[in-house]
This record gives sequence, C-alpha cells and structure tokens, in this order.
Amino acid sequence: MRRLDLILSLVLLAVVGVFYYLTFQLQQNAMIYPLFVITLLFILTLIQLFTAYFRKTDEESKAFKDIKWKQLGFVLITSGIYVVLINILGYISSTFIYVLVVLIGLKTSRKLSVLVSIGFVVVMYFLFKEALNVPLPKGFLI
Amino acid sequence: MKKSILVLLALTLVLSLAACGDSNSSDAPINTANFPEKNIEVIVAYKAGGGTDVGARILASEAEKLIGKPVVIINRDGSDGELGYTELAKARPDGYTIGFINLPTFVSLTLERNTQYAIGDVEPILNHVYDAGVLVVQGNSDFATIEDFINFAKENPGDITISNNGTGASNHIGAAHFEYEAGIDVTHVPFGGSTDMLAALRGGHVTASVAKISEVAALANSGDLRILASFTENRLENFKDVPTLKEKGYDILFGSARALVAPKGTPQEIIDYLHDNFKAAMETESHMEKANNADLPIMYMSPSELGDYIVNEEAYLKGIGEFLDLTN
Amino acid sequence: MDNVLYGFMAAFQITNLIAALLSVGVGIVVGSLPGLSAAMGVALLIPITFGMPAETALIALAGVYCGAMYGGSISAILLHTPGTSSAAATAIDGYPMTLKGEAGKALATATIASFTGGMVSSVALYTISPILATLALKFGPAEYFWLSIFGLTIIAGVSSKSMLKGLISGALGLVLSTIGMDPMLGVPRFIFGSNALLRGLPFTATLIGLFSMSQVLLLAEKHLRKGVQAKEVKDKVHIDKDELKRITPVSLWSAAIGTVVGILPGAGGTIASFIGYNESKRFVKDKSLHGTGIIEGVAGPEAANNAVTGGSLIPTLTLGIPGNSVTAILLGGLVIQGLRPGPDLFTIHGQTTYTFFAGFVVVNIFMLMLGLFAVRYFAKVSKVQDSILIPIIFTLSVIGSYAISNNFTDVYVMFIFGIIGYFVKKLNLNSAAIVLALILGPIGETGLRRTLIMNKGNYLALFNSTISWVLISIAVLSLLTPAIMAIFNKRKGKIENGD
Repeated sequence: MRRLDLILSLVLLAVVGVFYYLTFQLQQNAMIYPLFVITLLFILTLIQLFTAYFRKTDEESKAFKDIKWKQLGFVLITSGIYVVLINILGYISSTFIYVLVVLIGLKTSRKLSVLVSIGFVVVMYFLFKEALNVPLPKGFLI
Repeated sequence: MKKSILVLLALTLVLSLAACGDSNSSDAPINTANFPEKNIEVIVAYKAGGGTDVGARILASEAEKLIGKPVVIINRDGSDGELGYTELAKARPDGYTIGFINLPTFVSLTLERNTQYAIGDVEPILNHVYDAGVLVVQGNSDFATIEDFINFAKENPGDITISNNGTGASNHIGAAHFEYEAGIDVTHVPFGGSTDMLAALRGGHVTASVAKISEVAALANSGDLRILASFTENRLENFKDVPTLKEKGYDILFGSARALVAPKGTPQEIIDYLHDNFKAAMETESHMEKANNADLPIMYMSPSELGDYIVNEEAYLKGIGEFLDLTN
Repeated sequence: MDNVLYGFMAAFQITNLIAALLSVGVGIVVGSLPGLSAAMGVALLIPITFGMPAETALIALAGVYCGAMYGGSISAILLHTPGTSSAAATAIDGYPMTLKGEAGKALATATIASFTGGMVSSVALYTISPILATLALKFGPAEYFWLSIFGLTIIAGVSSKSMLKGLISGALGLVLSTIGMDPMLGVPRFIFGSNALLRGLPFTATLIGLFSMSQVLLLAEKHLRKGVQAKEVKDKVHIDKDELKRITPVSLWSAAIGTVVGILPGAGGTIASFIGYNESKRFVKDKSLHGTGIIEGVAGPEAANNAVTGGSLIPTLTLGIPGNSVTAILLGGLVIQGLRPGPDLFTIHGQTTYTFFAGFVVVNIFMLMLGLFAVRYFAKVSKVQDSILIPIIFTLSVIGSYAISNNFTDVYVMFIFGIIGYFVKKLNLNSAAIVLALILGPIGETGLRRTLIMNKGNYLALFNSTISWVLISIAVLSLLTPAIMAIFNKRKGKIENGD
C-alpha cells in the first residue's frame, strides 16, 4: 500500500499544482476561497506523503492483484466507444450494439445475449420515448 | 458461421428500427398547407414548476383546445436558459418546434458570454407575460414609502442590503440601475435564485429586494411584504397605491417578459397561424383565470412590437454595462 | 379538525387510492433505476396530472416523490449503485449485507425505515408546520455556513478505513466544488474553457459516475459471477422481532432529523441520509461494525431521506418556498391548479390540503406494503449475473446522466468520474466524502461570503444568532464524540482490568 499511497500523493500534488496555477489567474476577490480549499488539500496530501514515506512496515496491497486487465480494458474501451457512438448512431441503435457486444465479449451465451440486448432496448425505447417522453440523444439512425 | 448470422440479424433489426423511428430528414420541403399534422413542441428553457414553465403550460393547454393537436411542453433547462434557446434556434423551422424566451435573459446571455445562439436566430410570434419589477421590503419594515427608503440610504451608505437572484442577473441589474439613478449606495447580496432571495428577505436577513410582481403579489396582499415602488410606466393594475419610480423622478423601466418565438426561417403562414391561435387562447376566460390565479401578468405584444422590444432590450443592456459597476 | 377528518375520508375514495398506489409504484421503479431521479419522475408526471382534480394530482405527485426516495435504496443495496443520490449512504451498509446473503433483510429494513421516515414527517406536517416553517426562515447565510461545517464533520464519521484518506477525499470534493461560476461575483472559475461547466460539475452525473460506473468497472476487473451472489439469499423471514426492535429507535431519531433537514431549502435527501447514517452509530455499541453490513446502517439513512419528503413540504405549502427541486416542481403543480401556498391553503382550500396530507399518509402505507411484498422479487436481482449487470448499469448511467439536463457533456463528466471513482475505491479513498463535500462546499462558501457581504466583512456576524451557536455546538460535539468515546472506553477498559 505504501507504493500506491506515494503515487496517490504525487497525483494529488499535481492536481493541487494545476489548480493553484489556475487560481492565480482569477481576480483578487475570486481567489480567496479557492486558495483556501486548495491549500487544505495540499496540506493533507503532504501529510499523506510523509506518513507513507516514513512507513516502516508495509502490507502488500491487494488492490491491484488478480485483476483481469483484459476484461477490464475491454469493458472500459467498449463503453467509451459506446458513449461516442450514441451521438453518431443515436441512442437506441448504439445501446443495442453495445449491450450485445459486451455480453458476447464477456462470454455470455449467444441466446441470452441476443435476448437481453433486444429486450432491454425495447423496454428502454418504450419507457423513455413513449411513457416518460424523455428525449433520447439523436443520431444518424435512431 | 453462427456469428455472422447473428450479426446479420442484429443489423437487420437495427435498420428496421431506424426505418420506423422518427424521420428527421432535413431535406423534405416544409408543408404549410395542412399545418399542424402532428404535435407541436414548445421548448421551455427552464425547469418544470418554475415561473416560465407554469405560464407556458397554462397557455399551451388553452392553445391545444383551439388547435386540435397536442401542444407539448419540453423542458430543456441548463446554462441559465442557453441550452433551451440554442436548441430552439437550431430546430427545424417547420412550425412544429417553437419556444418561450425570457427577456432580458435571452439578450443578456449573448452579451455576457459566447452563446451558441444569436438574437437573430428566432422569429417573434407574440409576447405572453410581462412581469414588472418592484422594490419590496418586509411587511413590518420601518420604511413606509420609497422616500423613507431613499433618505435612509443616503444617510447610511452601504447599510441597506438588497438581495438579488445572482450577480448580473436581471434583478441585480434593476437594483443597480435604481441605485445609480437615486444616487445612493447599497450593498447587493447575491443569492442562487429568486426563491432564495425572497426567503432571505422574509427571514429578515436583508433589508429589501428587487423582484418581479408575480413572485410577490400574493405576499404583498397578505401583508408579508410591502411594495415600495414599481419599475413601470404606469401604476400596476392590482396595486394602485404603489407609486412608479418614474413618477418619483427616477426614469427606470424594468421587468421581464416571456414571449413565444419560432426558429428563424419558419414560413410566414405558419407564424401567422400560430400567432392567431395563441392570441385567441390568451384571450379566453379560462386562460385569464388561470393566469390570474398564478399571479402572471399577461401583456400581449404583436410580432412587430415584440421584435422592437427585443431590439430595445439589447440597446438598454449594452448601454447599461457602460455606467453600472456590477462587481459590487 | 373537520378538515382533517374530511381529508381522510376523501383520500380513501377509489380514485385517490388508485392514484396513490400507482404513483408509489411508478416512484419506486423510477427511484430504483440508477440515473432516474425523484425530480425527474415528478416533472414527467405533471402534464398527466393536469386533467385530474387538485387533490388527486397532489397525491400522485407525493406518491412518486416518496416512492422514488425509497426506491433508490433498492439498487443501492443490491448493486451498490444508488438509484437516487439520497440513497448513497444506504449503499455503505446495504451492499455488504447483500454480499453476506442478507439482501432481503436489508431491503425490508429500508422499507420499514422509509415508512417510518414518511410517517414521522407527516406527523410534523399535521402538527408543527407553522413552527418549522418559521424556523426555516430564520436560517440565513450564517446559519447555512455552520450547517455545512456540521455536515463536513460527518466526513470524519463516514471514513471508516482511514481518517486521513477520508479528509483528503473531502478536501478534494471541496476543491471540485469550486468549479463553476463564483457565486458572488459571477465570474467563471476553473471551467477549463467549457461552457457546460459554468454551473459547476453536474452533481448527479458526478455521483452516478463515482458510484454506478465505478461499480461497473469493479465488476469488470474480477472473475464474473455467474448466478448467485457470494452466498445464497438465505433469509425467508426477512426480519425478526429483535431486529425490528433494533431499527425502531434509529429510524425514529433519524426521521426526526430528516424532517428538520428537509425544511431547509437547499439541504435535501442526500445530506439528510448521511446525517442519518452518522446518527445511526449512536445506536450501535461496537462502532467498528458500521460498514460491514448492519441493519442500523441501512435504517438510519433511509428513515432520514424519506422524512425529507414530508419536511420539504412544510415550507413549500406554508411559505411557498420549495425545499428542493422536487417540491419546486410540486409548487408549480399547485400553482397551475390555482392553489396558492400560504394560510389560504389551510383555510379556504383546507379540504384539498388535508386530503393531500391524508393521501401522503396513504402513500407511505402503500409504499410499506408494496415494498415488503416485493422484497423477495427485488432480492432476485442480486442473482443476475455480472456480465449482464455490467452493460445494463452502464447504459442506465449514461441515459441517467444525460436526461437530467439534456446535456451530453454530463455524460462525459460521468465517464471521467467513473474512472476516478474506480481509483478512489482501489486506493481506499472515500466517494461518500467527495460527494458530501461537493454538496456542502457551495453551501458553506456562499453562507460565509454572503454573511461577510451583508456585514461589511465583519466575521463576528457569524456568531450572532442562537441557531448559529446551536449548530456550532453540534458540530463540535460531532467532532469530539469519537475522540471522547475512545478515551472513555480506554478508561473503562482500565477500570475493568482492575487498574
């Protein structure tokens, strides 16, 4: 956990740095409160940095052990593509494709995958368009 | 082999869904002959339940009876209205999408920031509500008249606190302009919206507020609040005892209007149709009664009057930025 | 008094009963879907209520409101993705219970606690509305500042694993809450050139990202469970007498608090639920059990957030000041029906109003019945396999983030926070603390700055009112109690060890 905590501290310090830089571009009065909270975060991060650095014993962090990176990456990337696709193809079609692809990719049975993707999209269509009249992002298809 | 069949199935399904989905073909010519053939959508750039929304719904329900087709309110709030205005400006000018704009906000947004719409992107249909600005204090305030208020302010610069619904928002502009004309120095306290600003007044946390009559009429009648003056040309219909700032020598007119507009390019016949029907709806007894119950002051303006009003608002706002210091 | 009785009789008319039942059902469904909120449900119902008589319309709106507040707990417990932001605290102990196979118990607890919340707040509605309304008005900027300070002390309470990390999460939330327009000066802060961020980070989208989407990623990194959760859903009798005894005091106390929090405009179900969660610790001897899956940890937040429903109606109906976005919409609904908030509602329109109140009670009873009845079906959701949950939860997260403001940028924000939320979980930071700070930061900042503007920079103005002092004391107590308890227990331990 020590290594992870150190990395976390550094990342947070970077965030603090960015915000400090942006704060000084604001006008006088607008700077006060942001400066206060950023400094608060800064101090806490420093405490974290030092306590992590000087930590003698270290339990091996189980946080990133046994992670199925491929599976995680697959879900993350397809989800990202899906988000972009919605504005191109429209919500209904993109959702159908996304659900189908993810289900098959995660090794669900073919039959179940098709059933769920069709069923879910149909329900979403009626629920949002007809019943609730909530606008769905439009695209080239639907 | 199985996989390709599945993909084919999927594609067919998607395409057939697309086929019976709503056709948004932008190349088809706009049919004015049988207007309207389907629902008319009215975009309200603010949340459901808010002032603009309530007014819009009251008018829409009346207009629906006359038009015969559903007139549906679509709330599109975000970015102080910019979201809804942009969507309206970019909508297909076929008469099936129209919307409400708030003045001066519709104009002031374009002056404050790089909006994604321009004032010229819309075509006026008519004005519905004109909500006059008023100066209010608590019902049990020591200030009985506007003169008391101004005199106290002159003797105690900065002591009077006036709540508004946001720095740079319409109420703030009204208050700042008044401050300038009266030659006094007050402290403006911004709140997140008109409800909050009035709650602060009613709780006694600030001395006064500049608000819209629709928001305070009921409270003034019940004695919770007292109206010291109105920012209008003539005295208010339901408050004949309240002087106008103009008659006291301060030439300030301020209020917010809510108008119905269509995207630019909507055919004139359709605009005329919409105008005639919505005007008739406004004039029905049922509409006036509902509007009265909701404290919404109705003030009709024709398309040309509305167009002039918008232009004047822009001129006013541009001019005022010059001599008002809104940064407190 | 006659109005009260009339109200009950009218509320039991068939149309009103049907409206109550249907609307609660709809509300529960809307609330349970991550991404759909109570405000959304109520807003969408408004046009439908036009044709109805006023009381029926109001009862229907109340039904959706109460149902949604409770419904959020269902997905919070079963899927660790709160259906509404006010259920975020419920997930803390609710989800571990599901993992232990006690989903049914958790759901039943949530149902009973939500019912208690609604009932306690309706008692307040009937009896002390005017007093509470006056109290609401007395809250000015200084008081809101101290309220946010008190809220922030709870962050320490929600950080079960590491106090420092909890505080860091809170501080991060505070920094993130500065994004948007400066509330006093109207100038943009940290918007990274995007107009969409002018109103600040979209709260619900951020929450959905931090909780729902991160959960999707957490599911995706591990071996996918095929069917049943960690253990079989083993409980048949969902809750026994002893457990009922345990959750009653928690629920009553949290409900009282929730009612009071509900009357304050700007403080809503989310804040109430966290306070409720924190308060539930009083009723458990071993503080370390919180977070492992105990019923008190579910009862506290759920009682509090449902109590907000009745509480928020008080200023809305008596003063015309809506407590939150849902009541703002309800107010619009009232106005459209021609009913003006204020004393008139209780006199001239007394019959309508008291029918509404009675309907509110009926709605809560239906919610209890529906909830308990459906528990076994809800619990089955925990048996759905992970590979199906992953895309479904994500698509709901997307549409939920979009549907709030019809702004696709909110979806991008949700996505980014989904990734952030994943790392927050992995590195032992605290999403709940971030969320609390995101809400409380602006309240505190605006409270402080307004007070200073109103008093020409005089900091002493913060200490002027009784309410301010009460809040300061509560905040101090909240901070010191864990420390005092620790010392106290140590001493006790020493005495018992014959020192």
